[in-house]
Amino acid sequence: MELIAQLLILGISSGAIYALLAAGLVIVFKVTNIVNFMHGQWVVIGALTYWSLMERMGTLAAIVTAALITGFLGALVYRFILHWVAEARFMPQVLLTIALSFFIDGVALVIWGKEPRSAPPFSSGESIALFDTVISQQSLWILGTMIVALVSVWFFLNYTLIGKAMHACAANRMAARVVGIKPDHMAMISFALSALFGAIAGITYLPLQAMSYSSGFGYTLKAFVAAIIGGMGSFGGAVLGGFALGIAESLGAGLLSSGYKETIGFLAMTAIIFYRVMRMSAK
Amino acid sequence: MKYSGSGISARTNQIGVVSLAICVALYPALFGQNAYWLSIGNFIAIYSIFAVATCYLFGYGRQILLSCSGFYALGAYGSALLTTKLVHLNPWLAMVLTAFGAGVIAFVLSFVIFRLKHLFFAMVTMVFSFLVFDLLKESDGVTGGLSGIPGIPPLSIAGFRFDSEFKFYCLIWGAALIVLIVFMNIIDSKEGRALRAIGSDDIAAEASGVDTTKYLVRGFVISAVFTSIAGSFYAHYVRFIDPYLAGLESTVLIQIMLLIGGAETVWSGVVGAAIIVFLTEGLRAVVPLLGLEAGPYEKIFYGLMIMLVIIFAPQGLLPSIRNFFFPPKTPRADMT
Repeated sequence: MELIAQLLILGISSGAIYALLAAGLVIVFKVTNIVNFMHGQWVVIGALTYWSLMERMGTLAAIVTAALITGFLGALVYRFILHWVAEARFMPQVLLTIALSFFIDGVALVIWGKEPRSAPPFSSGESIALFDTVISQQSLWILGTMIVALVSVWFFLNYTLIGKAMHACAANRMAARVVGIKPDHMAMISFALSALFGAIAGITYLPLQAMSYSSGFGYTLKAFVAAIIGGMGSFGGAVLGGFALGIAESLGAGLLSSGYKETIGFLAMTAIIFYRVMRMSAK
Repeated sequence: MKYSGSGISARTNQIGVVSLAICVALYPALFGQNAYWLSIGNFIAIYSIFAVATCYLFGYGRQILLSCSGFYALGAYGSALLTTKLVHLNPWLAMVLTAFGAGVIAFVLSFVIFRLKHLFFAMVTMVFSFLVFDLLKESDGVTGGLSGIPGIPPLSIAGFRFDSEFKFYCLIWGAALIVLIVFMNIIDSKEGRALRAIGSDDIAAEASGVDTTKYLVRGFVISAVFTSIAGSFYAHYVRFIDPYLAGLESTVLIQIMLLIGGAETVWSGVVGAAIIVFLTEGLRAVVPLLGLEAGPYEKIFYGLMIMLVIIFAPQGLLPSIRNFFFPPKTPRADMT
């Protein structure tokens, strides 16, 4: 029982990371219709930029700077590269984002080298004992950051003019253009947001999980699995999918075998896809 | 969107096969018995088989197939296991059995994947490769885990072993030419015409009476069988394999090759393979001269190459160059 409770807590903290990633992926997918296979690279860029700045600037300033730099890069990548395939079909978009992920991996390898990097936790304190389990302070930081980030972006999307314009683009791009919204600008903002989310996830996760230049693709897959489990279309679904994936992985790795940790997520995703396809063809 | 036909007439194909055969014959004469240059030639041939098999569904059927490295690894591991650890079968028998197995797996898999489209199709085919990778990595009792399988025997016919670079060169290019001719015929047959119709517009194909699922399934099985054969040749040539064969890198590499050639003819596989292998080797030779490590620049180079091709030459690199010098009379379809 203690083991299961402890695994649940581990699952929730990695689930929070997956939830943030899936939310970013879904925002981009809804607004631009681009399936972004380089989403995980934002995690790596954010985390490794934070790692480089950490000692020079202090923790808080480094977090803010790294997150903003990554968000800005997100906007740039859309404006100068993905912009070109915004109206293209599915295949060139996917191939372009996969190519971008290769490119960014290579650049990250040149900048940061091969070694995995890690960071000290944000606050150095004892782990908190709750009933029979132990919660590390970093897990609480992750959960707190995630709640703040998701709630603020939810308000941004639902209660600001730009957020509503993004909703409009997601619903019908042509109609949005007719009423004077520039879908391209909204797409750029959505990319900046998703890069920002990725960076926040990477920075808060870095103390628990060392990252190297090549970790990005793994996070892309996690984001996809979580988003698809959540229905690949709603913000809330993506968040729930993230937590479900985190908990399922943690339980599976702890109770079955750690080697097949990834496989559990993949199988869950495949099952969900088939459930949805079957239900759709039954209608 | 219009599709411009197979793009190449039977006559051009014949000329192409003959000139390729002449190039292949001249190559060792040009570089002598130099093992390095011969090994480059061998890899080009293996990648050509792999690329042509992928091209059938990716280029003609226009399905975003990310499972090819999985079948490549299955082919390599099937051959390796059947000729070393489990049973010491004849390598050729092992190759045929493995290809048959890959075909059966593809057939079973096709019941599920062709119900899906776009993102779900891409994800499930990609998941297949990852499952193969995980399986090969985790069942280390049989497959040796991450350390792979060493000591795979070379191919042989009636006691004649293809164990030197030159002997294997003759064998693999013979096989590559045969595979090329087989695919040219498949593409001009009913199968290929149906698949091309699906590639240009699946709804229109369905409306004109093409059983899209049936032809996609057959195409997938054919593609898997030949991919597995390419994997078997790789295993018997390099004689050491590890699970990283199933990684996404091989899939992406093959897609770069096809994108360069434009993926509208079987030739894009051969030409793309030759260009990419030579460029990669060139990069490996030049970058260290500048005092840098070659590894990262290879990745940057592949990424940049696909990005530039998709943005600036959506019909594929070679067709775009050709259209620039010889503008076609009717507009041609984008590759992707």
